[in-house]
Parts: sequence; C-alpha cells; structure tokens
Amino acid sequence: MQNRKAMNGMSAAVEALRQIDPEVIAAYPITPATGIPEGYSKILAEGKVTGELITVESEHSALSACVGAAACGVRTATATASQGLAYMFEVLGVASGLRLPMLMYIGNRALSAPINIHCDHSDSMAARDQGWLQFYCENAQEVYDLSFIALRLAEEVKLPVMVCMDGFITTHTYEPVEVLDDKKIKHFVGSYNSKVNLFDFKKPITLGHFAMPDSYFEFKEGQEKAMELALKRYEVLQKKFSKIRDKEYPAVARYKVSQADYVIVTNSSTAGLVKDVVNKLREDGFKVGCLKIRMFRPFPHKDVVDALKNAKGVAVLDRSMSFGSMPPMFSEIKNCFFGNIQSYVFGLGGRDIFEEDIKDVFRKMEKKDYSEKIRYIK
Amino acid sequence: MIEVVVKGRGGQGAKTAVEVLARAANHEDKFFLAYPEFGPERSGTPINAYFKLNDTLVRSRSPIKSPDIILVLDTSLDKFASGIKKKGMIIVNSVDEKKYHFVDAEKIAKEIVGRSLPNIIMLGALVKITKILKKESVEKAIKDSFKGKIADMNLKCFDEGFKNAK
Repeated sequence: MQNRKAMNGMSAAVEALRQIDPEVIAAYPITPATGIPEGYSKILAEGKVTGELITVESEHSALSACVGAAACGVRTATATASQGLAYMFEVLGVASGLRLPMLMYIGNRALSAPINIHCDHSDSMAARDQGWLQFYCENAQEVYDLSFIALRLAEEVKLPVMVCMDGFITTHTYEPVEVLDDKKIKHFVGSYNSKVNLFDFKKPITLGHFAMPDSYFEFKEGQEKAMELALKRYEVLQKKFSKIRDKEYPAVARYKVSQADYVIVTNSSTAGLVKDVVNKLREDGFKVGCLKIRMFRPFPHKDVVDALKNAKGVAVLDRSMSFGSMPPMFSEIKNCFFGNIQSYVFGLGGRDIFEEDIKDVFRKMEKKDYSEKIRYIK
Repeated sequence: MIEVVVKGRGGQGAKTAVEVLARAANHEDKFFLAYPEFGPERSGTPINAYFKLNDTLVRSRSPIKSPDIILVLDTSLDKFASGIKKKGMIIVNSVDEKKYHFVDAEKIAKEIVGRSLPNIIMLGALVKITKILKKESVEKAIKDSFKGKIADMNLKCFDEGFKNAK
C-alpha cells in the first residue's frame, strides 16, 4: 500500500486539486458537490495551495470566471451539480467554443422539477452536446486518478472537461483511496503552457469575437476535430498514467466481456454492482459481463463495437432520460450493436438499485425477452 | 464481507460512527464502504448508516438489506431488528436486554458528554462484542476524526462502551 486514505468522492477531488494546484478556482456551492469548494477553501486557508478562490454569487458567474481565467492562460477548475450545471448552461458552449481547457467536477444529481437532491445523470447528460469532454467515475479512486488524465487531455486538445461522480453514492461515501506522491503528480501534469493569454500585452489577441456565416461553421468543425483527437490522445495519456498507478483506465472498461453471451452496459457507480452480480452468476456458469462507459464524450464507438462483437444480447442501463426518444447512453450503444438490445432506465432521483434488479436484467436476456420500449427498474 | 447497519435518529451520530469505522478499517488496510442514507436531514427522524468491510474491493453501493450486525442507537425505532442474518448480531443502547447484546450508552453519554450522544459508545460495544476491527485502529480513527477535547471525550466514550458492553 502506498498512501491509502479513507476518503469520499469530494475529498478525493480536493486532494487532486491540492496536487494540481490550479491558479484559479471559481465555484458556487450546491449539494452534493459542496464539499469540493468547501474542502478547497480549507486547504487554501491552511496554505497548502497557492491558487485564487473566487467566490461568486451564482454558477453562471463561477463558470464565467473560469472562462476568464482560462482566457488568461492559467489552469482553472470548478465543481457543481444539477441546477448549478443547468444555470451554467449558457457558458458551457462559450468555454468549449473558445477552446478553453478547464476541469469541472460534477456531483451527478437529478434536475428539477420536482426538486430532488439525489443522484441521476440528467444534469450532465443534458450537457452532453455542449462540446465538453465527459468522464463518469465508478468510485472515489477513479475521481482522483481521472482528474489528472482528464486535465492533461483537456489541455492537449483545448477543450473543457467534466469529471462526473454519482451524487451522494460517490460524493459522500467513504472508501479507500490510494493517493500518489506529490512529485509524481507534478511530473505527470507538468506546468500548463497556454498559447492563449489575454494578459500578454506584447502579443495581443482577440477571443470571443463575432463570427459570420462565412466562418462560424469552421469553428464548429474544429471542435469536432478536437474531439476526434481526444479519443486518440486519451489512450496515450491513460497509458502514461498507468506507469505511475500500475492500473489502466481504458475509455471503455470491459469486465469479463470477451467470453460473455450477455452484457450489461452502464456507467458510474452502478458498474460496481453489475460486476458483483457478474461474478455471482459466473459462479453458477452463466456467461455474463459488464461494459462500463468511462468516457462518454467523445464517445468511443469503435471500442464498444469491438467489445460487443460476440454478445448474443445487450442491455443498456441509463440513469437519465431523453424525453421523447431513447435514453442517451442507449442511443450510443444502439449505434454500435445491431443484435438483441434492451433499454433500461433506473435510479432516477436516487432510486436505489439492487442485486436482484441486475439479475433480472440478465435473466430476461437469457429468455430472449426484449422490447422496443424502455423498461424501468423501479 | 461483513455488513453493518447503524440505526439511529438524526443527531445521534450514526453517520459519524460509520465514518470512524471507515478510517479504522483503513488503518488495517482493509477494504470498505461507509455511507448513510441521505434524506432531508432532520433531528429525531430515523436514519440508517451503512458500513461494509471486506478483504477485497467492495463494489456494491446498494443499501444493506440483510446485515450481519445491527447497531441500534435508539430502541424506540420501529422494527430495528428486521432483516438481520440468521447468525447476525444485534447490539442495542439499553439499560438491560435479554435478546440482544447491550450497553447503557444513554447513561454513559450523559455522564461524559452531558447529552444523549451514543454513537462512539456504541462503537466501543461493537468492537468488544464483534471484534470486526481492532480496538487500537478505532482509537486511532477517533483521533483522526476529532480534535483536542472532543477527541479525548470520544476516546473516553469508546472506552466506556467497550468496558460496559454485555
């Protein structure tokens, strides 16, 4: 064991921020992500970090301040959830459109109405088309480790990144987290050399100017190219990180998938439960597996196609809806797998999910029980 | 895997109790998850806090339905023994009890803390009766979790709970 601590998802994020030590953090507290700005302000008061904490009056301002900081060429980070992310919406596209890297932690929480503080993915999934890179973490260890990979990726491809964890289920659960040596992290994240700096008066630039129909299009094409590059660069960066962590973080994590007839595809903390059930059913001789979508934007279609190529049946467990259509993750998987496939929605507003629910999903696949409609695990 | 449910009421420290257990388990290099059921937190309303302890990574974050151990901070809670495993153990905060293990945490808390705060006293009873974690690890975890006088007070609570558990 290196340096193992009992931490929750939020304190794992704060520990990562301590080691990254961004120049600017701007945030507005919101449940269940409050512990991140709160924890950061504590280590700032203790003199463990050197950054500037901008306490603002809203999430819209928090992200605007991050945009300003990133435009001046410094590392910047924030954290939010649910209504906070909804309130940031206008600025999300500004950050990605201006190609400003920044790190944002999301404590995934249901959107109003009705008001609810518990976990589902309707907040970050609603923002999936705003040009941000998106990662969904299974546990606090992943939150900590992915912070560094995600930050470096964001800086390399010049896009902002969301590192998402399940509200309460991950943000507030205490679990063992192996913390890496400060020196190793400093070496991995390096120093940030931005080409954009509005404060460099010797080299004045324009940022956020008006774009006419003759040029706007190319900006958007550029963002898509950056996403394509991110797919490739992520693999390189996670391999590089695995040298200090002894563990790989592939964009799509396969758990006993290669020999599986039936596969459940899901993300975040629920993947842990599915893996437990996979182990139990494997003991009884059932060929089942779990595919965890760690990176949702850009979406690693090729990896998913390859992972599911031998599956007889696939079930996709989404923790959010896309009202009037199929759920967000299902729609992506449906593009990658043309066999028997079933959509499930679970856990909305923090509804618990149990071992039996997962077993039932596998049982239905075995019985060739598929429907074109969404099924709800309630 | 050992699954523990701490049943109490808002304000009795069930959440803090499982956090202390988490830190203690970490001192023993064990794997664990510790989390309460979050609701609209109010003093006096029923609350469950969960603690899962294992030698390998704990993956499932579902609420515990059939615990190995139930720690009852308040015996006025409805059906506090429900779901317990066949060979499970129940420890209650009570003056006397025939069916379960018990410790009079109420009395000890009033003597040491001056008000009803049974959580750490009950951890003393838990460690003595179930031996799921070492006494020294929990004491270390208490020192990690609290500072100064509060830490001393809680160490005393833990020790009294340990001594008086039956």
